[in-house]
Amino acid sequence: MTWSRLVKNPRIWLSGGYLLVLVLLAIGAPLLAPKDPTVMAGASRLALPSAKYLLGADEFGRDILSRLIYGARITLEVSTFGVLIACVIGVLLGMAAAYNGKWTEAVIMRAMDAVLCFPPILLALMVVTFMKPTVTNVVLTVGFLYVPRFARIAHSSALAISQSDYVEAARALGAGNWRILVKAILPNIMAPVFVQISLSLGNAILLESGLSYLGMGPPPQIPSWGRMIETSSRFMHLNPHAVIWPSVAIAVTVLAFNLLGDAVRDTLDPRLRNS
Amino acid sequence: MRRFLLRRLGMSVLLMWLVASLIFLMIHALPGDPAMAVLGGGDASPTPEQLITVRAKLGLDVPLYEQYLNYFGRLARGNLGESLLNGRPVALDLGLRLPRTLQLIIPTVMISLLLGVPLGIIAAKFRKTWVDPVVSGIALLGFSLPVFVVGTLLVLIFSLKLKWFPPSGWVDFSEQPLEFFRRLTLPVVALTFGPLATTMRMTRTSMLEQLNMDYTRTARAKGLSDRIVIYRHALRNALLPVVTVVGLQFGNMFAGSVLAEYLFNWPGLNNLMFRAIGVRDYPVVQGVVLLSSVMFVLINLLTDVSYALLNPRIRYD
Repeated sequence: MTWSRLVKNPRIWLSGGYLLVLVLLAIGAPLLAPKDPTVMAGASRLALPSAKYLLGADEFGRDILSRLIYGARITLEVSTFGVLIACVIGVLLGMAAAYNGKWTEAVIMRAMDAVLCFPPILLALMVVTFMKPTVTNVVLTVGFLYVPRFARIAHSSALAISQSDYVEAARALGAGNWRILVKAILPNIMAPVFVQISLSLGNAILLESGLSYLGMGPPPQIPSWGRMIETSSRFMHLNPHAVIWPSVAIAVTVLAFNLLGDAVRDTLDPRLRNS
Repeated sequence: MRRFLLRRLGMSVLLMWLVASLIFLMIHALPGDPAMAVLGGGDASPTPEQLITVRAKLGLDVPLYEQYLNYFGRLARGNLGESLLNGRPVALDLGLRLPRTLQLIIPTVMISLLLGVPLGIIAAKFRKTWVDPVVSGIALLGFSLPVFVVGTLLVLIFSLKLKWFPPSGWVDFSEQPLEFFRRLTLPVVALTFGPLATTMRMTRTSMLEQLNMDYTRTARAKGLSDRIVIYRHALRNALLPVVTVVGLQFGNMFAGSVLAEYLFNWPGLNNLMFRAIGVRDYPVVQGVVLLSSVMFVLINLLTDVSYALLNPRIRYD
């Protein structure tokens, strides 16, 4: 029932469809990209769009379209794995806090508040100062920074559910703590968690592209949208395409995740449905 | 009210201690050795003597608990250490740079409030017409545009093509006031999109919530005009969550302006941090992160207190 409502919502299949295409492009990049994204061609430096270079070429004569397609890989990789780590740890911590209460709850939730005080991009910059800016380190940083979002959502949702009659009933029947957490509580907090996943993915892309823009993201030999904007912006009066297309890619992708999260929330939240 | 204030204040102090401890831990627990980082990163091969000198200079040659106590001892006296690059006290540079970052943040927050609240009200008022989806759509777009994308496109259009504004740089307001505002315009516009969208959306949501309440229905039923219902009754209640959101944004912007400062070469806090990262000047990096986090905690404290002043229902819980 919920599922059919989700599918009928045009915002969901519009954004979901775009994201699906993007994922397929990223996975199939070696087959789908018209050119090698790292091959430089001196003769075609800053070439405008043509049959040879559909979106033009950058300041090294590299094909912009191919770099965009390859850039989707790193963006999706960092945001997906970062958010996945945050989601698993955050949901576990949030549920543990809500279920155990008392000092466990106090310690976990105050620690989450402290992590939230850190300005994400500054913390990420600090981490890559001490460690090398590799893909793994950027993923771990995103994971660490986004744990509190999931812990808070899971905590508040699980709090309501752990007092409900059916949890009480499960306990009376002799179900263990793990069984109650996984079978009774977890399925019931998945809806808000899913919304948070979608919104966090959008946010993680903003963070990753921001770091890449500052030259502190994944290593320079990997094409990334943020870095494309930074390096080509010095030549944008000669060929604006090298800056405009990666900008469009970032904006549309983040927009798609935000739209998806919003639409799922509107559909799942019964209070908003009829008003 | 006093109990609320005391509890909230205690919580903020606790948070600041946690934040400072986390920063301390992070510097010591991360795989990289700060002394190695200072001497050129993972690829460097300094002599043992060099390492010992740098460790002593950074106070890394004593046991960890002693370092921790020293760290808080210095923090309590407002001493954030010295730059490894030029030996200047970090606190001095932070004091110099903070106002310049505020020059970007304050106008941004003001504009997003002055435009965002009216637009949010309009969207809520015209809920069932074409106005709402248009305003909400623009808000969603505003969320999705990173500062450096908006900024780069603004430079491309207004500075490189139209030549209305200089592409980057900062001048002292007291020396060249007009030029100062010319240089302020593009970074502030670039920064405004996100907070404006958030303010707009929050106002809309919370206005809609209030307009669905019984008291607004009663006000309508007794024949009050839309204007009075919206502006005198609903708006007062609707603005409360907006205050919180604006506070959060203000805190977030200390870090959010890092991209604008880099793009527009604005010599604020984050620009200082960015240069420090390049040369691994870690007391400076640590100082900026600490200052940003503490500002965030303090602004949230102020927000909560003002919230309690505005809303009597909060004070007694």
